[in-house]
Amino acid sequence: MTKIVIQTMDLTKQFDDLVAVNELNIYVKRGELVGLLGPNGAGKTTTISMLSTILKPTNGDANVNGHSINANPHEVRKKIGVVPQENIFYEYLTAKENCELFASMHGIKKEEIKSHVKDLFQRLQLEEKMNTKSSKLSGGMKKRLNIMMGLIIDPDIIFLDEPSAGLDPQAARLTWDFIRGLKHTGKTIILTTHNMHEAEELCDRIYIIDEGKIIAEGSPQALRANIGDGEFFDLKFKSKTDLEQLKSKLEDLGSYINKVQVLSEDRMVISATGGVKRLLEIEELLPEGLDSLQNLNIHGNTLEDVFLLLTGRKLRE
Amino acid sequence: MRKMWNLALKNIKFRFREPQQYLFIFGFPILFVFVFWVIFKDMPSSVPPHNQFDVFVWGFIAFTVAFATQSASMAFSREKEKGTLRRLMTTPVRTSSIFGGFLLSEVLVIIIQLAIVYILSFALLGVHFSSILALVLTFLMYILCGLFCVGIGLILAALLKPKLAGELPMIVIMPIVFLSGIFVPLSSEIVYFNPFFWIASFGRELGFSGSGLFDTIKILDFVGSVDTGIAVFWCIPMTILFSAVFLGIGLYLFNKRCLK
Repeated sequence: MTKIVIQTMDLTKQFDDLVAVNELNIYVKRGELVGLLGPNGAGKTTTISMLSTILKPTNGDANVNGHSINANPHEVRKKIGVVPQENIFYEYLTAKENCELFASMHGIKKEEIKSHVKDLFQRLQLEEKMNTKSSKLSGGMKKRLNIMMGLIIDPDIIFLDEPSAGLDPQAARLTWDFIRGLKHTGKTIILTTHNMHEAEELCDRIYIIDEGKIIAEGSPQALRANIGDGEFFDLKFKSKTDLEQLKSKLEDLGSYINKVQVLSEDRMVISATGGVKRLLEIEELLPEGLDSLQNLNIHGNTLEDVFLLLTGRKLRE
Repeated sequence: MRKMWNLALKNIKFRFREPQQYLFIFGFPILFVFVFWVIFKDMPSSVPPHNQFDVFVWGFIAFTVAFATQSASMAFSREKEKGTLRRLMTTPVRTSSIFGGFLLSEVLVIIIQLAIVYILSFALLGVHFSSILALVLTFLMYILCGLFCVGIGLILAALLKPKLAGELPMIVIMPIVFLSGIFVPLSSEIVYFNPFFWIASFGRELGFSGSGLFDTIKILDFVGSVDTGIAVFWCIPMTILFSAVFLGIGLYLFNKRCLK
């Protein structure tokens, strides 16, 4: 049985009146790549900050690599690598000096990690910029340096906070490939993201988090299957319609209607199996057929749709 | 210890890689001495055979050291704002190493600035140092005074938002400097609660303590001085006390408010 290396126990963080993380219970097995997927402000970064001992929980505890984050934060820090969302490093130091400084904070001399540093710079295609002042690097290079600094000690457990945020598609791909490479070396990784593609591409398992609480958990495939394999119909009506009544009619149609969610007075989403032909049956229930609609969007189920059906909101809202 | 030294080295690199820092570390004390010389060079001495600079220089040096408040406040608020301190806290580094590294680099800057001021005071202003011991003792006392200023800077960095922490320190420290009576003598007892008073009194007494090592040692007794009626010796523990208390408060507040 694979060992659980991260486990939270009712982990809670409150800032004044705001409960950012609410009695969170998650676990991560050794070698797993687990995603915390949720919109901005869902509590993802706060969770990572607590697990990496930057923030003290208001209540609850977590075990990271066998050590309590409350009782033994110093021990926790010895085995983790943290990559924050923003690029955080000393701009007046060179890329290499930044990496060596953070390695030295783990008690590692620069001679000891010389080959590891070189390898990291090569893998992240930064070797030519090793001795360049960090402030002089381009945006993408800064992001890669930011990642590199979190991995400089070759940690067993890695926390990645929105690793591809702000990157162009090509740089994001490079980052994803790099993260996949890390996973193949047996690292345990938690990453936060509000990017469903990133979560689907990289994660073995996902916790969907909203308003500080876990609202769903599973592999990307399992989460999508939860709302039914099939199509996702997003209906925007021209005017206010009695959508609650329409919802109950739709639910009576049969088992191929998996889930229906009313988002507003003029918008609803439907998860259904059976392909586009279901549209004909749905159309018959609309007051003026397809003329009732201002906009209709049909596509295969995604994690974005899972979140939409669970919360009634989009991930980026 | 190695971690502390690496952090100090990192701070020192900042000081010597940013062009504006050269202005602060080297340019400012040089300019300051020069301006001081231009203003007072023609003033007749009130304490012959000493020159007028022998009287004013101790307050002037204290004034130079006071800028450590601004430097410390900006250094820590910059790290707070950029998140680098938080990132450091994800590594197994103790806060004592972070603060130790910071203090080491700040003390180095204070030493460089003091060295510049001392050398120029001797060479340009013709200030009289009664003995090597007097020179070393006053130098060390000013470093302690610098730590008091660093403490004030830390308190401000802990309590204020980064932008204010960069702007307010001089507004805070300047009244403290002037309320010490080091430039214009004050008859109020308030001066006793001001480290600048103790450090400048110490410098002045040692500066006028005759000539040679024995004269310096003799003046460090428990007999009240002519100027203040307080024994010169007491200037040492008083300066240490102020530095320790304010540095302690600064470290405590910054640790509690910014690193926990």
